[in-house]
Amino acid sequence: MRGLLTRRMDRRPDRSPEEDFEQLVRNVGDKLRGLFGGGNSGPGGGGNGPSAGGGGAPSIPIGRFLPIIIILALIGWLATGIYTIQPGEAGVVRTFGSYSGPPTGAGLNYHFPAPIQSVEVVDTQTVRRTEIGFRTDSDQSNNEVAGKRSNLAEALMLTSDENIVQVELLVQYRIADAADFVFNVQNPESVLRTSAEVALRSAVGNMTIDAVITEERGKVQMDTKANLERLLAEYNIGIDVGEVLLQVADPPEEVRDAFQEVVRARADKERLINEAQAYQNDIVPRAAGQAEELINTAKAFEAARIAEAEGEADRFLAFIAGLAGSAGQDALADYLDALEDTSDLAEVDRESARKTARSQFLASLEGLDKDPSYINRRDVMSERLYLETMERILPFAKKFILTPDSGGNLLQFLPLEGNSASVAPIVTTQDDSVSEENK
Amino acid sequence: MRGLLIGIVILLGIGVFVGTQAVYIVDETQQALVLQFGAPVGDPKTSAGLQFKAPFVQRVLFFEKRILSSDAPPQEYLTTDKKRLVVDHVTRWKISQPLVYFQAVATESGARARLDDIVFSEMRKELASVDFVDIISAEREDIMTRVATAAQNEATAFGISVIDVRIKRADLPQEVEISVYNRMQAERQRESSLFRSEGDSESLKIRSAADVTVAQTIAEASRQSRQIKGRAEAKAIDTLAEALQKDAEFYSFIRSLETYEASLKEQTTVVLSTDSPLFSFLTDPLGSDASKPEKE
Repeated sequence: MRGLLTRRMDRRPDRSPEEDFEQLVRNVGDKLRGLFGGGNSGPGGGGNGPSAGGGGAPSIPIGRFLPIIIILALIGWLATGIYTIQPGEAGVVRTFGSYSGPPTGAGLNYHFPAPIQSVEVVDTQTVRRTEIGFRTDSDQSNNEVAGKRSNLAEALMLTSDENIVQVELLVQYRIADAADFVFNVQNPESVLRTSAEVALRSAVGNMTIDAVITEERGKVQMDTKANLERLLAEYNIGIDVGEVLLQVADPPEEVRDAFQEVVRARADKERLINEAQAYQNDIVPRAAGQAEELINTAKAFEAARIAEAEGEADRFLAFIAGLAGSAGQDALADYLDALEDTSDLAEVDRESARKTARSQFLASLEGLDKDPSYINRRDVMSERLYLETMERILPFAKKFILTPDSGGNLLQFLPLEGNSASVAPIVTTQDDSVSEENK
Repeated sequence: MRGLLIGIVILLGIGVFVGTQAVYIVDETQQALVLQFGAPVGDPKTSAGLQFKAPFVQRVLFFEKRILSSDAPPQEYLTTDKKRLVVDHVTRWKISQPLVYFQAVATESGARARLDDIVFSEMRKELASVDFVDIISAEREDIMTRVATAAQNEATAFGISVIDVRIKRADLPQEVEISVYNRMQAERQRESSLFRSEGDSESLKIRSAADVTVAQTIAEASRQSRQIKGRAEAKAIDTLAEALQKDAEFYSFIRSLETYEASLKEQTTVVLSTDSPLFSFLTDPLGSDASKPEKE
């Protein structure tokens, strides 16, 4: 009976339908001969049909059971047409070899038993993968990737700039049309694989090695997928290409060091530039600070210098105003009042206000040195000042007082001085920087 | 009764046997050719289904209807620019005329052998007329199309239809690969030294520019600083001069006194003459000369 059972065929029947049919006829002939033979020599003759086990007594005539046997055999034969399709599968049914579409879906299905119809079940859901340039040794027990080996013959390919690059690619695909998959191409999965290789090499062959290993990796995937889909559409192969994933896109082992050296050199270049910029960022703001400092120092000097000069001038003016009698003293008082008033003003205004006040003060002192009363007062004052100063100085000095008769010969005194530091004959010395020394 | 039964069964058996000889099934993936004593009868059956033939005298041959592949071993070719290239191609084909096919090559292996010969020679012709780099990239598709077309023309004689010829791999021969690797290495070295020297150059540019900026900044500040100081001096002198000219002589006197006081410290030895105005009364009391101290 096994010969009568519907074979759930592999994708490719290893026997032609004609052979199947002949086999069937032979089997039926055998069965019939067995049945008749059994009638003569007993039921053990070889009838092993589902009902033959009934084990009728040898005396019972075959003729009585023959219709039952035939009917049971017929039912058994018809029952072989029952088949189930799992979700995600499709059944491709052929009637006398001719496709009776569309593919049957999931559930319990029926086809006429062989040799009339046959069914081929194709998994249309599982995403399959094919690997170009490498092989994974997957551990069957837990379905994890155990190891990956490069297949250099497949992985090494030429780029448009005549360099060699190592590319490893994973193509995921699914059977989209079961009938096309079964009927249109011999060995469809092997065709898919070679087509993927063609597509990949065509894509890589149109790019430079730098593009492939760096920024254009995505383009390799896209181009390969586009090429592959175009090829497969030409063959009408019934396969849908899913993801095309670039696993590796590297320079070959032999030259990898040189490529890494380029990466290092590029990094070094950036490092040098960054360091230089750090240097720049270090010294330039510092210099700006120094510049500011220089200018501020100068401004400080300016302020001090001018203030000092004005102070000195004012002091002197006050001095001579004091000697100029009541008019001078009034002018001085006015001036001092004006100066006091300026302290409430803003910086800019204050300066001009002071200037005005001073020039007024100066104007009021105009012609003073021609005033005889002033000169008189001044000369008296001078003498007094002179004597006061001498009084302050001389007590601390070592003094030698000579008469003009001594002829000014000082040498005779020098040994008496010990190591005295300086000799300053006050009469003959005049400080030449007297009007300029301000420090 | 029993004899009748046996007779019927035998007749049935014969009928079934003859029936099996008279029908045949053409699968969806196949096409069939009917031969009568070796000679073809009628058109090839290309549509699948149940077909009839004369029993015993006619025989049926089945051929593939699907697209077939032929993946010949890689071959070395010479391009126009005298470069050697190892190309592995794959040919997709179909049996288009089963009768011609049967008469010319009969089997699939025979067909593959003939087809490979045809494609090889077309490849050789085609690749010899293009440059190496064009095979790799630009003209790959065109070359393949031309090879396929040319192969198609010849393969018709064998009942074969060539669908396409594709370059699966196009590699350099082993010994050439080494020189390519050397060249790649040299190119990369060139590139890395370029990067390094660019790095040095950029670095120097930035550093020296920074130094220039610093020098300029300081110099400019120094200039301003001196100008400010100069202006300050001018203003100070102007202010002083303006005041002093009221009585320059007197100022000089006062200022000198201050200087004496500042410079004549303790232990300074002073030699004074009795001619000095300070001592004008020391040796010469008032009235004798009526002289007054001369101011300096």
